[in-house]
Amino acid sequence: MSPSLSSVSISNFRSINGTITVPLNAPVILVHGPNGTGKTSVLSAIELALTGEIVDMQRTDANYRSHLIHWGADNSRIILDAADLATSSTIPHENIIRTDGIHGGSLLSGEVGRFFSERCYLAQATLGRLLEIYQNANPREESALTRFVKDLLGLDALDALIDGLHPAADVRNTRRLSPGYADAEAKIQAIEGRVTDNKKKLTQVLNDAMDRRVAIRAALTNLSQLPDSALGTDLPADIEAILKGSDDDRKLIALNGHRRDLASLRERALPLSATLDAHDEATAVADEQAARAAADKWRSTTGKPIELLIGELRGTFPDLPSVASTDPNTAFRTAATRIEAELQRCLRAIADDDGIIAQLEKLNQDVEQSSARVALADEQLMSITGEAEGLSRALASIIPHIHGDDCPVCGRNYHEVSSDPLVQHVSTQVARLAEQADRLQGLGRSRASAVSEQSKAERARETTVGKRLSQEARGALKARISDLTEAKRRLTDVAASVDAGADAMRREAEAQRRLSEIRNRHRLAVELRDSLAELCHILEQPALDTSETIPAAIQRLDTYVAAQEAVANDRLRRRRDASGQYQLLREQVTEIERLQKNLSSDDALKKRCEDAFAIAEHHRQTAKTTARAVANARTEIVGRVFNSSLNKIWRDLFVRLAPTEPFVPAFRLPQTSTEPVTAQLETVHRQGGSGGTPGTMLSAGNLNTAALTLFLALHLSVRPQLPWLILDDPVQSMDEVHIAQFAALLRTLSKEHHRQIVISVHERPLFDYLTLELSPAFAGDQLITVELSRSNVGASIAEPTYHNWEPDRAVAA
Amino acid sequence: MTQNQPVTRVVDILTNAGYRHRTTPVTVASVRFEFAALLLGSERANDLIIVIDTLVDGEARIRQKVEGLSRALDLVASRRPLTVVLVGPPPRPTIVEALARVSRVLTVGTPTGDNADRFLADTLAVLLPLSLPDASEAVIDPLGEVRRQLPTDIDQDALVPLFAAAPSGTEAVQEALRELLEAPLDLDPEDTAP
Repeated sequence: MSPSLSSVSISNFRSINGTITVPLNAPVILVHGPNGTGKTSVLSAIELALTGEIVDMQRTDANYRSHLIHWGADNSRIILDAADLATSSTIPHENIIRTDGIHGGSLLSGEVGRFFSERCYLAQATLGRLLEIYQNANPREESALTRFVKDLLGLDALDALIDGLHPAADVRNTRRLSPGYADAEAKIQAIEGRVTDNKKKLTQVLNDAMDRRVAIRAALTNLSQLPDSALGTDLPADIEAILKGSDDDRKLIALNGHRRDLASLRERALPLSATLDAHDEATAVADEQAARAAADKWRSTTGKPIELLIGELRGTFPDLPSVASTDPNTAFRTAATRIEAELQRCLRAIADDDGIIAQLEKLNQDVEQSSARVALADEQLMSITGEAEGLSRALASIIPHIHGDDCPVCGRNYHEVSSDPLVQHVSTQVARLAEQADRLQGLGRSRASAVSEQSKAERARETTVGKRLSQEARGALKARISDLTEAKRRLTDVAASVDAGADAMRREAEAQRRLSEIRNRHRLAVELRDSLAELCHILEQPALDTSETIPAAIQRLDTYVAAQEAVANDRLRRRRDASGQYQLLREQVTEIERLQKNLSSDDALKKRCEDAFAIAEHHRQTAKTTARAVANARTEIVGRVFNSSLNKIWRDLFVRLAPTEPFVPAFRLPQTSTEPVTAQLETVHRQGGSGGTPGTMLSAGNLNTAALTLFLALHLSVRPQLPWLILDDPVQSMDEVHIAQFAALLRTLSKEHHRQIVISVHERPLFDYLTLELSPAFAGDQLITVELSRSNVGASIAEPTYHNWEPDRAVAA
Repeated sequence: MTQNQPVTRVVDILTNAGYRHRTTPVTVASVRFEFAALLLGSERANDLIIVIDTLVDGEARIRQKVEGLSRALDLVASRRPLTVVLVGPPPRPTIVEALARVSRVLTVGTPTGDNADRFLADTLAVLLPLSLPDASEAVIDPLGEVRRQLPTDIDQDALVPLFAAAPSGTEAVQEALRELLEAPLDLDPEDTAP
């Protein structure tokens, strides 16, 4: 919105008593009134309507709102009419101020309102403090100057760039800003560390491998298996076959076998430890012959009857051993034992048969006694009625039918027979018959028992009869007993000579055994010597001579084998060591390959990372350079703006109003490029060189002029959001010369730069002068002067006068 | 009519500023006035400027002329504000004060030396057009200035996101910087340290 002010109607506001209306629809509004007639009230009413507040009152009294209503009135009212230049429509705005506050808001919104307060409206109180306001710029707050610079330059983007790119300047800040950057750096370092480690390891392993090759070559040389063709530290191509070579193994196995053979020979040679010679054998032969002769003699003499006797006894005992087949003692004892056993058997058989005969006699007696008892039982049974029991039961059943003495069977009167009653008689008969029945049973049992005894004795007698020896057998036994007794006697007779025979035969056997043993030892010695000779041949050792004993030869060979084994073992151990070394070498070669591969891949990775990081670093440097450029640009812009805009126009304005003042106020530029704008006020001499601060260098009047021109410079430096200048009696302390210049300046601003100017003055001559100076200069130009005064009763009066353009008749244009 | 050097310089400055030079003598309210020079304001200004060479006219004469012109203007109810430019040795202050009561007085003196033109312009400044800062100069293109400050071989591609973020504030720029730094580092996603 680009409004132009049309009029303001003010009721009971501050010093305005009643209602006045001030027209505002002209390029210049000149308000005049003696002090106390409400000039400031009119202008502050405009500010309030436009912005909702009165800034210079706010500065001195935060509670100023409660003092806005004219004393004695209920409320205040401000009606500000504006026109939207774009649409030519009227924008009415009304504020009502009551004790509870200001109602109606503001015509201008925040930013534009602030522009009005700072750049369009110069209150009297503000003029006095303006330099102070712009001098005291606290860098930590958004000062008026900072706001001005921002309004002017829009440096926010540059500030954002400077602050935003700041981390690029210092790598530590860069790391904080960008974890990825820090990670990449760390990663490259890690890779470098790894490469260094791996290189160190590789060198170590290569050295170790070299040492190991030397060691293996030394071992191979020791084993005499390093071909001449293998030079330097190279290992022969068939190294593995060489190290695997089994010659020593085979040799060792063979030696082991020989050692076992020798051990076996030593074991076998043990019996040979006793000294043997030909004399021993001869003695043994003689002993053997003597013993055999003695034995033969016994066999042919004393032994003969014994042999004969035993030969005879073989007729009876065919399996008896002969003396020849065993020895006399055995043959004799066997024969004696067998004879004694047979003799006893025969004697027992006779005794047994005698027992059987005695038993038969007793059994016969038993049979006879049992038969007698059976006969007795039969005899008694005959005497007892066979029907006793049945008759007894029949009679008993009759008893109930006997009434009196009449017999129920025959009908006769028993009294006829006996004086006893019939019932008694029958009862007695029943009892007698029952007694007979019991006895009959007992007899039956006795008879059966006797019959059983009889038959048992008869069966036993038959069995026993069968066991009896026949007369022939019994006779033969007795004859045999006789023969055996005889043979036993004869054996007893020769018993004395049996021991002597046995002794001779034992000695004979002993001699034979010894002879045989001696002969065996001789045979063994020969065998052993043969074996040793063969072993000597196998081991390529000197053969045995006759003077060398078998143990000595065994010892000699054993020593030789042990030495050979030691050699073979040593070679084997060396080979094993070399194999172990070679195995380690192969592992190291693998390790070397692995390390080289790792190094190669790490190199590639490092290069990739470094390339990527180089781009990032390039970007960082670009950002750094850019930050510097931005800072320089900012300095450049600020400098340019201050020099070519603000200071230039301020100087221009100040010089217009104070043409004879040699010192001109100016802002001294920010010293550094990145700090917030904290320009300081100073003065510069027109001929060049800087002076002190305005306060020390300028007179009070020129200080006032400096402030006024600063305000105008600030207004003119920025794009005018509102083309208004509202000045509240700005020339109070100016002399006439300054006032004349100021008037010319106001005219320039109005006529050339199209600012709508509302200005209040309190001096009449000044008012008249300004009325002349600001008179309309061309067709359509207009000036409104407003005279403020009070009626007799104190009511405010505003009397506007409209000045229109008239062609000048004095000097033709 | 004397067209001496200082007067010519004043007239030149004013005519260059749009004032119209009038020949003298000029008659106002039937009275003839003669000045070293007389200039009128542009079409949008009423100014009447007279240039007086104090070497040529004596103090009394000057005062007489100026006050006479002033009265003549009043007589015909002219609204032209009168400005008197005094060239040459400044008159006594009482004379200047007397002149100032009826006109705006600009005492030019006899400027010499290197700063003569500057001094002359300063003295006449109030009559000269006010040259305001160019609107296009005031609304500056800060990023354009930055580009001018940058070395020519700067990586332009890298600048694009940074400059694009600048209007959104510091954090946006930092984020853009971070992305710029980290973008090339993300190229190797399959890499993992053993």
